[in-house]
Amino acid sequence: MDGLARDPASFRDPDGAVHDDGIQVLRTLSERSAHDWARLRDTQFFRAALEEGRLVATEEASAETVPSSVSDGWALTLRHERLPFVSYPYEWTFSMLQDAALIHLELLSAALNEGFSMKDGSAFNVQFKGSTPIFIDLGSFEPSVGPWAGYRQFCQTLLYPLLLAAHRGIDFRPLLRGRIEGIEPDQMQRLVGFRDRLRPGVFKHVVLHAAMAGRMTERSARTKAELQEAGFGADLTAALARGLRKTVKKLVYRPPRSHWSDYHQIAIYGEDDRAAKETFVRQAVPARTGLVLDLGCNDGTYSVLIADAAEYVVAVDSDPVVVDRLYRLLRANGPANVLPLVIDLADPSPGMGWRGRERPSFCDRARPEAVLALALVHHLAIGASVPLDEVVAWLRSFDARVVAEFPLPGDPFVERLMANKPTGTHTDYTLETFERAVASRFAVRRRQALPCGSRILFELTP
Amino acid sequence: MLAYLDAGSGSMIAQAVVAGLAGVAVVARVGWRRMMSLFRRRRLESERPVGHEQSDASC
Repeated sequence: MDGLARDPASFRDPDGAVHDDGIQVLRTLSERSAHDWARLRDTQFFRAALEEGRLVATEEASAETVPSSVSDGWALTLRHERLPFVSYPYEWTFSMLQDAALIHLELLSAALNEGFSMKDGSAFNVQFKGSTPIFIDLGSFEPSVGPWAGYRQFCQTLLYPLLLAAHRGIDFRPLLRGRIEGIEPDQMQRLVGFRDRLRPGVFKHVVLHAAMAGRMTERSARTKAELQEAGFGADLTAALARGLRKTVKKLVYRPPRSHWSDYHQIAIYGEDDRAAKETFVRQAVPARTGLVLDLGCNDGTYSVLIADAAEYVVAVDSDPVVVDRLYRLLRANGPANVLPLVIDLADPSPGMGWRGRERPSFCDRARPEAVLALALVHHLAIGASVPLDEVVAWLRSFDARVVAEFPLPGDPFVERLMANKPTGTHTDYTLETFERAVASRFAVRRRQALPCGSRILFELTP
Repeated sequence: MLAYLDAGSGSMIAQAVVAGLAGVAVVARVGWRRMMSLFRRRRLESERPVGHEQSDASC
Protein backbone atom coordinates (compact mmCIF):
# COMPACT_ATOMS: atom_id res chain seq x y z
CA MET A 1 0.00 0.00 0.00
CA ASP A 2 1.35 3.42 -0.90
CA GLY A 3 1.31 5.49 2.31
CA LEU A 4 -1.77 5.87 4.44
CA ALA A 5 -4.95 4.94 2.70
CA ARG A 6 -8.12 6.74 3.67
CA ASP A 7 -10.31 4.32 5.57
CA PRO A 8 -13.16 3.40 3.19
CA ALA A 9 -15.63 3.74 6.07
CA SER A 10 -14.81 7.35 6.87
CA PHE A 11 -16.30 9.31 4.00
CA ARG A 12 -19.63 10.13 5.60
CA ASP A 13 -18.41 12.91 7.86
CA PRO A 14 -17.36 15.94 5.77
CA ASP A 15 -15.53 17.37 8.78
CA GLY A 16 -13.05 14.57 9.21
CA ALA A 17 -11.44 11.48 7.69
CA VAL A 18 -9.67 8.41 9.04
CA HIS A 19 -6.48 7.07 7.47
CA ASP A 20 -5.01 3.67 8.21
CA ASP A 21 -1.87 2.00 6.87
CA GLY A 22 -1.98 -1.07 9.06
CA ILE A 23 0.45 0.49 11.53
CA GLN A 24 -1.06 3.79 12.57
CA VAL A 25 -4.54 5.28 12.51
CA LEU A 26 -4.78 9.02 11.86
CA ARG A 27 -7.86 11.21 11.98
CA THR A 28 -7.75 14.49 10.11
CA LEU A 29 -10.09 17.30 11.17
CA SER A 30 -11.56 20.26 9.30
CA GLU A 31 -11.24 23.80 10.69
CA ARG A 32 -14.63 23.45 12.35
CA SER A 33 -13.90 20.01 13.83
CA ALA A 34 -10.50 21.16 15.08
CA HIS A 35 -12.25 23.98 16.89
CA ASP A 36 -14.68 21.48 18.51
CA TRP A 37 -11.77 19.19 19.36
CA ALA A 38 -9.99 22.00 21.23
CA ARG A 39 -13.07 22.37 23.43
CA LEU A 40 -13.68 18.62 23.75
CA ARG A 41 -10.09 17.93 24.81
CA ASP A 42 -10.54 20.13 27.87
CA THR A 43 -13.83 18.69 29.11
CA GLN A 44 -13.84 16.52 32.21
CA PHE A 45 -15.97 13.71 30.81
CA PHE A 46 -13.65 13.33 27.85
CA ARG A 47 -10.50 13.10 29.97
CA ALA A 48 -12.15 10.68 32.36
CA ALA A 49 -13.36 8.44 29.52
CA LEU A 50 -9.90 8.45 27.95
CA GLU A 51 -8.30 7.50 31.25
CA GLU A 52 -10.80 4.73 31.89
CA GLY A 53 -10.18 3.33 28.40
CA ARG A 54 -13.79 3.90 27.33
CA LEU A 55 -12.60 6.06 24.45
CA VAL A 56 -10.02 4.97 21.93
CA ALA A 57 -6.61 6.33 23.03
CA THR A 58 -5.96 9.56 21.13
CA GLU A 59 -3.26 12.21 20.90
CA GLU A 60 -2.56 15.18 18.65
CA ALA A 61 -0.04 14.16 16.00
CA SER A 62 2.81 16.60 15.49
CA ALA A 63 2.98 17.90 11.91
CA GLU A 64 6.38 16.34 11.12
CA THR A 65 5.11 12.81 11.91
CA VAL A 66 2.22 13.03 9.47
CA PRO A 67 2.75 12.63 5.71
CA SER A 68 1.55 15.71 3.84
CA SER A 69 -0.56 13.46 1.59
CA VAL A 70 -2.69 12.88 4.68
CA SER A 71 -2.70 16.29 6.35
CA ASP A 72 -3.03 18.51 3.26
CA GLY A 73 -6.32 20.36 3.30
CA TRP A 74 -7.06 19.59 6.96
CA ALA A 75 -6.58 21.78 10.00
CA LEU A 76 -5.40 19.18 12.50
CA THR A 77 -4.42 15.50 12.72
CA LEU A 78 -5.07 13.14 15.63
CA ARG A 79 -3.37 9.79 16.16
CA HIS A 80 -5.50 6.92 17.51
CA GLU A 81 -4.47 3.70 19.14
CA ARG A 82 -4.75 0.90 16.59
CA LEU A 83 -7.16 -1.85 17.63
CA PRO A 84 -5.83 -5.38 17.06
CA PHE A 85 -8.98 -6.53 15.25
CA VAL A 86 -12.01 -4.66 13.94
CA SER A 87 -15.37 -6.38 14.35
CA TYR A 88 -18.94 -5.43 13.52
CA PRO A 89 -22.33 -5.55 15.29
CA TYR A 90 -23.50 -8.46 13.13
CA GLU A 91 -20.65 -10.48 14.64
CA TRP A 92 -21.41 -9.61 18.25
CA THR A 93 -23.44 -11.48 20.86
CA PHE A 94 -26.46 -10.06 22.68
CA SER A 95 -24.40 -8.99 25.70
CA MET A 96 -21.82 -7.35 23.46
CA LEU A 97 -24.47 -5.33 21.62
CA GLN A 98 -26.05 -4.44 24.96
CA ASP A 99 -22.70 -3.23 26.34
CA ALA A 100 -22.11 -1.25 23.14
CA ALA A 101 -25.51 0.44 23.58
CA LEU A 102 -24.78 1.22 27.24
CA ILE A 103 -21.35 2.75 26.65
CA HIS A 104 -22.88 4.88 23.90
CA LEU A 105 -25.62 6.19 26.20
CA GLU A 106 -23.30 6.69 29.15
CA LEU A 107 -20.92 8.79 27.08
CA LEU A 108 -23.84 10.78 25.66
CA SER A 109 -25.13 11.50 29.15
CA ALA A 110 -21.69 12.54 30.37
CA ALA A 111 -21.18 14.74 27.30
CA LEU A 112 -24.54 16.50 27.77
CA ASN A 113 -23.46 17.70 31.22
CA GLU A 114 -20.73 19.72 29.58
CA GLY A 115 -22.55 21.16 26.60
CA PHE A 116 -21.69 18.43 24.11
CA SER A 117 -23.91 16.02 22.22
CA MET A 118 -23.33 13.43 19.50
CA LYS A 119 -23.83 13.71 15.74
CA ASP A 120 -24.85 10.09 15.43
CA GLY A 121 -25.81 7.02 17.41
CA SER A 122 -24.61 4.08 15.41
CA ALA A 123 -23.45 0.69 16.73
CA PHE A 124 -20.47 1.14 14.40
CA ASN A 125 -19.21 3.87 16.77
CA VAL A 126 -18.21 1.12 19.17
CA GLN A 127 -15.46 -1.48 18.88
CA PHE A 128 -14.25 -4.19 21.22
CA LYS A 129 -10.74 -4.50 22.54
CA GLY A 130 -10.90 -8.04 23.83
CA SER A 131 -14.08 -8.05 25.89
CA THR A 132 -14.00 -4.29 26.60
CA PRO A 133 -16.26 -2.00 24.58
CA ILE A 134 -14.53 1.15 23.34
CA PHE A 135 -16.09 4.21 21.71
CA ILE A 136 -14.01 4.99 18.64
CA ASP A 137 -15.74 7.81 16.80
CA LEU A 138 -14.37 10.98 18.39
CA GLY A 139 -15.70 12.95 15.42
CA SER A 140 -19.15 12.18 16.76
CA PHE A 141 -18.94 14.66 19.66
CA GLU A 142 -20.15 18.18 18.88
CA PRO A 143 -21.08 21.19 20.97
CA SER A 144 -24.86 21.17 20.86
CA VAL A 145 -27.82 21.55 23.17
CA GLY A 146 -30.72 20.51 20.93
CA PRO A 147 -32.25 17.13 20.06
CA TRP A 148 -29.93 14.13 19.59
CA ALA A 149 -29.40 13.64 15.87
CA GLY A 150 -28.34 10.04 16.52
CA TYR A 151 -31.57 8.85 18.16
CA ARG A 152 -32.85 7.19 15.01
CA GLN A 153 -29.55 5.42 14.33
CA PHE A 154 -29.38 4.30 17.94
CA CYS A 155 -32.83 2.73 17.64
CA GLN A 156 -32.09 1.12 14.28
CA THR A 157 -28.68 -0.38 15.02
CA LEU A 158 -28.75 -0.92 18.80
CA LEU A 159 -32.12 -0.72 20.55
CA TYR A 160 -34.30 -2.58 18.02
CA PRO A 161 -31.93 -5.53 17.57
CA LEU A 162 -31.74 -5.89 21.36
CA LEU A 163 -35.53 -5.68 21.77
CA LEU A 164 -36.05 -8.30 19.06
CA ALA A 165 -33.62 -10.71 20.69
CA ALA A 166 -34.94 -10.16 24.22
CA HIS A 167 -38.67 -10.14 23.50
CA ARG A 168 -39.04 -12.20 20.35
CA GLY A 169 -36.00 -14.49 20.48
CA ILE A 170 -35.09 -13.22 16.98
CA ASP A 171 -31.45 -13.44 15.93
CA PHE A 172 -30.51 -9.82 15.17
CA ARG A 173 -27.29 -10.63 13.31
CA PRO A 174 -28.83 -11.49 9.93
CA LEU A 175 -30.90 -8.28 10.12
CA LEU A 176 -27.89 -6.06 10.86
CA ARG A 177 -25.83 -7.87 8.28
CA GLY A 178 -28.56 -7.34 5.74
CA ARG A 179 -28.64 -3.57 6.06
CA ILE A 180 -25.86 -1.33 7.31
CA GLU A 181 -28.38 1.24 8.61
CA GLY A 182 -30.16 -1.37 10.73
CA ILE A 183 -33.88 -1.95 11.19
CA GLU A 184 -36.22 0.93 10.28
CA PRO A 185 -38.95 1.93 12.75
CA ASP A 186 -41.70 0.91 10.33
CA GLN A 187 -40.19 -2.55 9.80
CA MET A 188 -39.54 -2.95 13.51
CA GLN A 189 -43.17 -2.24 14.26
CA ARG A 190 -44.16 -5.10 12.00
CA LEU A 191 -41.70 -7.43 13.74
CA VAL A 192 -42.92 -6.87 17.31
CA GLY A 193 -46.05 -8.65 18.49
CA PHE A 194 -49.14 -6.96 19.84
CA ARG A 195 -48.36 -7.98 23.43
CA ASP A 196 -44.79 -6.67 23.09
CA ARG A 197 -46.12 -3.16 22.61
CA LEU A 198 -46.86 -3.04 26.33
CA ARG A 199 -43.29 -3.90 27.28
CA PRO A 200 -41.00 -1.13 28.58
CA GLY A 201 -39.76 1.11 25.82
CA VAL A 202 -41.51 -0.68 22.96
CA PHE A 203 -44.52 1.59 22.69
CA LYS A 204 -42.42 4.74 22.88
CA HIS A 205 -39.37 3.86 20.85
CA VAL A 206 -41.06 1.60 18.30
CA VAL A 207 -44.78 2.35 17.91
CA LEU A 208 -44.67 6.11 18.49
CA HIS A 209 -41.40 6.44 16.63
CA ALA A 210 -42.78 4.58 13.60
CA ALA A 211 -45.95 6.68 13.63
CA MET A 212 -43.96 9.93 13.69
CA ALA A 213 -41.31 8.80 11.23
CA GLY A 214 -43.95 7.86 8.68
CA ARG A 215 -45.78 11.15 8.93
CA MET A 216 -43.19 13.90 8.97
CA THR A 217 -41.94 15.20 5.68
CA GLU A 218 -40.08 18.34 6.75
CA ARG A 219 -36.33 18.58 6.62
CA SER A 220 -34.85 17.22 9.84
CA ALA A 221 -32.55 20.26 10.19
CA ARG A 222 -35.60 22.53 10.24
CA THR A 223 -37.42 20.34 12.73
CA LYS A 224 -34.32 20.29 14.93
CA ALA A 225 -34.15 24.09 14.90
CA GLU A 226 -37.87 24.37 15.63
CA LEU A 227 -37.63 21.99 18.58
CA GLN A 228 -34.66 23.88 19.92
CA GLU A 229 -36.52 27.20 19.65
CA ALA A 230 -39.51 25.67 21.43
CA GLY A 231 -37.31 24.76 24.39
CA PHE A 232 -35.79 21.35 23.62
CA GLY A 233 -32.57 21.55 25.64
CA ALA A 234 -29.85 19.26 26.93
CA ASP A 235 -32.06 18.30 29.89
CA LEU A 236 -34.56 16.62 27.56
CA THR A 237 -31.85 14.73 25.68
CA ALA A 238 -30.47 13.68 29.07
CA ALA A 239 -33.93 12.39 30.07
CA LEU A 240 -34.12 10.51 26.77
CA ALA A 241 -30.68 8.96 27.34
CA ARG A 242 -31.62 7.96 30.90
CA GLY A 243 -34.84 6.34 29.71
CA LEU A 244 -33.06 4.47 26.93
CA ARG A 245 -30.39 3.28 29.34
CA LYS A 246 -32.99 1.95 31.75
CA THR A 247 -34.75 0.11 28.92
CA VAL A 248 -31.52 -1.37 27.52
CA LYS A 249 -30.15 -2.39 30.90
CA LYS A 250 -33.26 -4.40 31.76
CA LEU A 251 -33.22 -6.48 28.60
CA VAL A 252 -32.35 -10.14 29.05
CA TYR A 253 -31.84 -12.67 26.31
CA ARG A 254 -33.15 -16.12 27.18
CA PRO A 255 -31.70 -18.41 24.55
CA PRO A 256 -33.35 -21.53 23.25
CA ARG A 257 -31.51 -24.64 24.40
CA SER A 258 -28.47 -24.75 22.17
CA HIS A 259 -27.07 -27.93 20.76
CA TRP A 260 -23.67 -26.64 21.80
CA SER A 261 -24.51 -25.54 25.31
CA ASP A 262 -23.70 -28.90 26.84
CA TYR A 263 -20.91 -29.77 24.44
CA HIS A 264 -18.31 -29.77 27.13
CA GLN A 265 -20.26 -32.13 29.32
CA ILE A 266 -20.88 -34.69 26.61
CA ALA A 267 -17.49 -34.42 24.93
CA ILE A 268 -16.06 -37.87 24.75
CA TYR A 269 -12.54 -36.82 25.54
CA GLY A 270 -10.93 -38.36 28.54
CA GLU A 271 -8.47 -36.44 30.66
CA ASP A 272 -5.59 -37.95 28.65
CA ASP A 273 -7.01 -36.56 25.41
CA ARG A 274 -7.53 -33.15 26.83
CA ALA A 275 -4.03 -32.97 28.32
CA ALA A 276 -2.42 -34.16 25.07
CA LYS A 277 -4.40 -31.65 23.01
CA GLU A 278 -3.53 -28.78 25.35
CA THR A 279 0.18 -29.59 25.25
CA PHE A 280 0.10 -29.85 21.46
CA VAL A 281 -1.67 -26.50 21.06
CA ARG A 282 0.59 -24.74 23.57
CA GLN A 283 3.70 -25.93 21.74
CA ALA A 284 2.29 -24.70 18.43
CA VAL A 285 1.69 -21.19 19.82
CA PRO A 286 4.95 -20.07 21.43
CA ALA A 287 5.26 -16.85 23.43
CA ARG A 288 4.96 -13.58 21.50
CA THR A 289 2.85 -14.98 18.70
CA GLY A 290 0.86 -12.11 17.15
CA LEU A 291 -2.79 -12.47 16.20
CA VAL A 292 -4.29 -15.96 16.61
CA LEU A 293 -7.65 -16.97 15.17
CA ASP A 294 -9.41 -19.71 17.09
CA LEU A 295 -11.89 -20.91 14.47
CA GLY A 296 -14.75 -22.94 15.90
CA CYS A 297 -13.71 -21.95 19.42
CA ASN A 298 -16.78 -23.41 21.15
CA ASP A 299 -16.53 -22.42 24.84
CA GLY A 300 -13.16 -20.75 24.27
CA THR A 301 -11.04 -23.24 26.24
CA TYR A 302 -8.14 -23.08 23.78
CA SER A 303 -8.40 -19.33 23.24
CA VAL A 304 -7.97 -18.81 26.95
CA LEU A 305 -5.22 -21.43 27.08
CA ILE A 306 -3.03 -19.58 24.57
CA ALA A 307 -3.98 -16.04 25.59
CA ASP A 308 -0.79 -15.57 27.61
CA ALA A 309 1.38 -16.57 24.64
CA ALA A 310 -0.50 -14.68 21.92
CA GLU A 311 -0.73 -10.93 21.63
CA TYR A 312 -4.40 -11.17 20.70
CA VAL A 313 -6.86 -13.98 20.14
CA VAL A 314 -10.02 -13.75 18.05
CA ALA A 315 -12.33 -16.58 19.14
CA VAL A 316 -14.94 -17.39 16.52
CA ASP A 317 -17.91 -19.72 16.69
CA SER A 318 -21.29 -19.88 15.00
CA ASP A 319 -23.22 -20.53 18.20
CA PRO A 320 -24.37 -17.23 19.72
CA VAL A 321 -25.19 -18.85 23.05
CA VAL A 322 -21.75 -20.28 23.82
CA VAL A 323 -20.02 -17.16 22.49
CA ASP A 324 -22.20 -14.94 24.67
CA ARG A 325 -21.32 -17.03 27.71
CA LEU A 326 -17.64 -16.78 26.76
CA TYR A 327 -17.94 -13.00 26.42
CA ARG A 328 -19.46 -12.63 29.87
CA LEU A 329 -16.78 -14.86 31.40
CA LEU A 330 -14.02 -12.90 29.68
CA ARG A 331 -15.57 -9.61 30.75
CA ALA A 332 -15.66 -10.77 34.38
CA ASN A 333 -12.40 -12.67 34.68
CA GLY A 334 -10.29 -12.01 31.56
CA PRO A 335 -7.94 -12.67 29.92
CA ALA A 336 -8.34 -9.21 28.40
CA ASN A 337 -6.87 -10.02 24.99
CA VAL A 338 -9.51 -12.45 23.72
CA LEU A 339 -12.21 -11.10 21.37
CA PRO A 340 -15.20 -13.47 21.02
CA LEU A 341 -17.26 -13.27 17.81
CA VAL A 342 -20.27 -15.05 16.33
CA ILE A 343 -19.43 -16.09 12.79
CA ASP A 344 -20.61 -19.03 10.72
CA LEU A 345 -17.41 -20.01 8.95
CA ALA A 346 -19.35 -21.61 6.12
CA ASP A 347 -20.98 -18.20 5.55
CA PRO A 348 -18.69 -15.53 7.05
CA SER A 349 -19.51 -11.78 7.04
CA PRO A 350 -19.27 -10.32 3.53
CA GLY A 351 -18.03 -6.83 2.59
CA MET A 352 -20.78 -4.32 3.32
CA GLY A 353 -21.73 -0.73 2.57
CA TRP A 354 -20.53 1.47 -0.26
CA ARG A 355 -18.79 -0.65 -2.93
CA GLY A 356 -18.73 -3.47 -0.40
CA ARG A 357 -15.67 -1.86 1.18
CA GLU A 358 -17.07 0.24 3.97
CA ARG A 359 -17.13 -2.77 6.28
CA PRO A 360 -14.66 -5.31 4.92
CA SER A 361 -15.48 -9.02 4.95
CA PHE A 362 -14.29 -11.21 7.81
CA CYS A 363 -11.77 -12.94 5.54
CA ASP A 364 -10.30 -9.58 4.46
CA ARG A 365 -9.85 -8.49 8.07
CA ALA A 366 -8.30 -11.75 9.24
CA ARG A 367 -4.52 -11.52 8.97
CA PRO A 368 -3.43 -13.97 11.67
CA GLU A 369 -0.01 -15.32 12.56
CA ALA A 370 -1.54 -18.59 13.67
CA VAL A 371 -4.88 -20.34 13.20
CA LEU A 372 -6.47 -22.95 15.45
CA ALA A 373 -8.93 -25.22 13.65
CA LEU A 374 -9.77 -27.66 16.42
CA ALA A 375 -12.82 -29.87 16.04
CA LEU A 376 -13.79 -27.80 13.01
CA VAL A 377 -12.86 -29.66 9.83
CA HIS A 378 -15.65 -32.26 10.12
CA HIS A 379 -18.26 -29.53 10.61
CA LEU A 380 -17.24 -27.81 7.40
CA ALA A 381 -16.64 -31.00 5.38
CA ILE A 382 -19.71 -32.95 6.50
CA GLY A 383 -22.01 -30.43 8.18
CA ALA A 384 -21.63 -27.76 5.49
CA SER A 385 -20.63 -30.19 2.68
CA VAL A 386 -17.48 -28.27 1.74
CA PRO A 387 -15.04 -30.66 -0.01
CA LEU A 388 -12.06 -31.52 2.22
CA ASP A 389 -9.62 -30.21 -0.37
CA GLU A 390 -11.46 -26.88 -0.36
CA VAL A 391 -11.40 -26.73 3.46
CA VAL A 392 -7.62 -27.18 3.42
CA ALA A 393 -7.23 -24.57 0.65
CA TRP A 394 -9.22 -22.13 2.78
CA LEU A 395 -6.99 -22.80 5.81
CA ARG A 396 -3.98 -22.16 3.57
CA SER A 397 -5.46 -18.82 2.46
CA PHE A 398 -4.71 -17.34 5.89
CA ASP A 399 -1.04 -17.71 5.05
CA ALA A 400 -0.33 -18.60 8.67
CA ARG A 401 0.70 -21.48 10.89
CA VAL A 402 -2.29 -23.79 11.34
CA VAL A 403 -3.14 -26.24 14.10
CA ALA A 404 -5.78 -28.54 12.69
CA GLU A 405 -7.61 -31.47 14.22
CA PHE A 406 -8.90 -34.22 11.98
CA PRO A 407 -11.57 -36.46 13.49
CA LEU A 408 -11.45 -39.80 11.67
CA PRO A 409 -14.51 -41.45 10.16
CA GLY A 410 -15.91 -43.52 13.01
CA ASP A 411 -15.34 -40.80 15.61
CA PRO A 412 -18.65 -40.46 17.51
CA PHE A 413 -19.01 -36.81 16.50
CA VAL A 414 -18.31 -37.55 12.86
CA GLU A 415 -20.87 -40.35 13.02
CA ARG A 416 -23.42 -37.95 14.46
CA LEU A 417 -22.93 -35.51 11.59
CA MET A 418 -22.99 -38.34 9.05
CA ALA A 419 -26.29 -39.57 10.49
CA ASN A 420 -27.97 -36.38 9.22
CA LYS A 421 -26.80 -37.07 5.66
CA PRO A 422 -28.08 -39.60 3.12
CA THR A 423 -26.04 -42.81 3.22
CA GLY A 424 -23.30 -43.00 0.66
CA THR A 425 -22.46 -39.31 0.79
CA HIS A 426 -19.14 -38.01 2.09
CA THR A 427 -17.33 -41.19 1.23
CA ASP A 428 -14.31 -38.99 0.44
CA TYR A 429 -14.13 -37.89 4.07
CA THR A 430 -11.00 -39.91 4.81
CA LEU A 431 -7.64 -39.31 6.44
CA GLU A 432 -5.94 -40.01 3.07
CA THR A 433 -7.92 -37.26 1.31
CA PHE A 434 -7.15 -34.83 4.11
CA GLU A 435 -3.44 -35.65 4.23
CA ARG A 436 -3.14 -35.43 0.45
CA ALA A 437 -4.78 -31.98 0.50
CA VAL A 438 -2.49 -30.91 3.32
CA ALA A 439 0.70 -32.24 1.68
CA SER A 440 0.10 -30.23 -1.49
CA ARG A 441 -0.20 -26.93 0.41
CA PHE A 442 1.55 -27.12 3.78
CA ALA A 443 4.67 -28.47 5.44
CA VAL A 444 3.65 -30.86 8.22
CA ARG A 445 5.72 -29.94 11.26
CA ARG A 446 4.05 -32.31 13.73
CA ARG A 447 1.41 -35.01 13.61
CA GLN A 448 0.02 -36.66 16.70
CA ALA A 449 -2.88 -39.01 17.35
CA LEU A 450 -4.87 -38.34 20.50
CA PRO A 451 -5.10 -41.23 23.01
CA CYS A 452 -8.77 -41.83 22.07
CA GLY A 453 -7.48 -42.98 18.68
CA SER A 454 -10.14 -41.26 16.57
CA ARG A 455 -8.58 -37.81 16.27
CA ILE A 456 -5.30 -36.61 14.81
CA LEU A 457 -3.65 -33.26 15.41
CA PHE A 458 -1.52 -31.51 12.79
CA GLU A 459 0.78 -28.54 13.07
CA LEU A 460 1.14 -27.05 9.60
CA THR A 461 3.22 -24.24 8.16
CA PRO A 462 2.71 -22.66 4.72
CA MET B 1 -40.47 9.82 -4.13
CA LEU B 2 -39.19 7.85 -1.15
CA ALA B 3 -35.61 8.79 -1.97
CA TYR B 4 -36.37 12.49 -1.53
CA LEU B 5 -37.76 12.25 1.98
CA ASP B 6 -35.66 13.14 5.01
CA ALA B 7 -36.41 10.36 7.46
CA GLY B 8 -34.81 12.16 10.39
CA SER B 9 -37.62 14.66 11.01
CA GLY B 10 -40.11 12.22 12.54
CA SER B 11 -37.38 10.75 14.74
CA MET B 12 -36.64 14.23 16.07
CA ILE B 13 -40.27 14.74 17.06
CA ALA B 14 -40.50 11.18 18.43
CA GLN B 15 -37.52 11.65 20.74
CA ALA B 16 -39.10 14.77 22.21
CA VAL B 17 -42.32 12.87 22.89
CA VAL B 18 -40.55 9.91 24.51
CA ALA B 19 -38.36 12.18 26.64
CA GLY B 20 -41.29 12.85 28.97
CA LEU B 21 -43.94 15.46 29.71
CA ALA B 22 -41.59 18.39 29.16
CA GLY B 23 -40.86 16.98 25.71
CA VAL B 24 -44.55 16.66 24.90
CA ALA B 25 -44.93 20.32 25.84
CA VAL B 26 -42.12 21.22 23.45
CA VAL B 27 -43.78 19.31 20.62
CA ALA B 28 -47.11 20.98 21.39
CA ARG B 29 -45.38 24.35 21.18
CA VAL B 30 -43.85 23.43 17.80
CA GLY B 31 -47.28 22.30 16.57
CA TRP B 32 -48.89 25.52 17.74
CA ARG B 33 -46.23 27.67 16.06
CA ARG B 34 -46.57 25.74 12.82
CA MET B 35 -50.30 26.20 12.86
CA MET B 36 -49.99 29.89 13.56
CA SER B 37 -47.44 30.43 10.81
CA LEU B 38 -49.68 28.53 8.38
CA PHE B 39 -52.53 30.78 9.41
CA ARG B 40 -50.40 33.91 8.93
CA ARG B 41 -49.20 32.72 5.52
CA ARG B 42 -52.80 32.13 4.39
CA ARG B 43 -53.75 35.63 5.46
CA LEU B 44 -50.76 37.15 3.64
CA GLU B 45 -51.58 35.16 0.50
CA SER B 46 -55.20 36.33 0.52
CA GLU B 47 -54.04 39.95 0.74
CA ARG B 48 -51.56 39.51 -2.14
CA PRO B 49 -52.76 40.04 -5.77
CA VAL B 50 -53.43 36.77 -7.62
CA GLY B 51 -51.15 35.22 -10.27
CA HIS B 52 -47.95 35.08 -8.23
CA GLU B 53 -48.02 31.46 -7.00
CA GLN B 54 -44.78 29.67 -7.47
CA SER B 55 -44.86 26.53 -9.53
CA ASP B 56 -43.76 23.45 -7.62
CA ALA B 57 -40.93 22.29 -9.85
CA SER B 58 -39.64 18.90 -8.87
CA CYS B 59 -37.37 16.30 -10.34
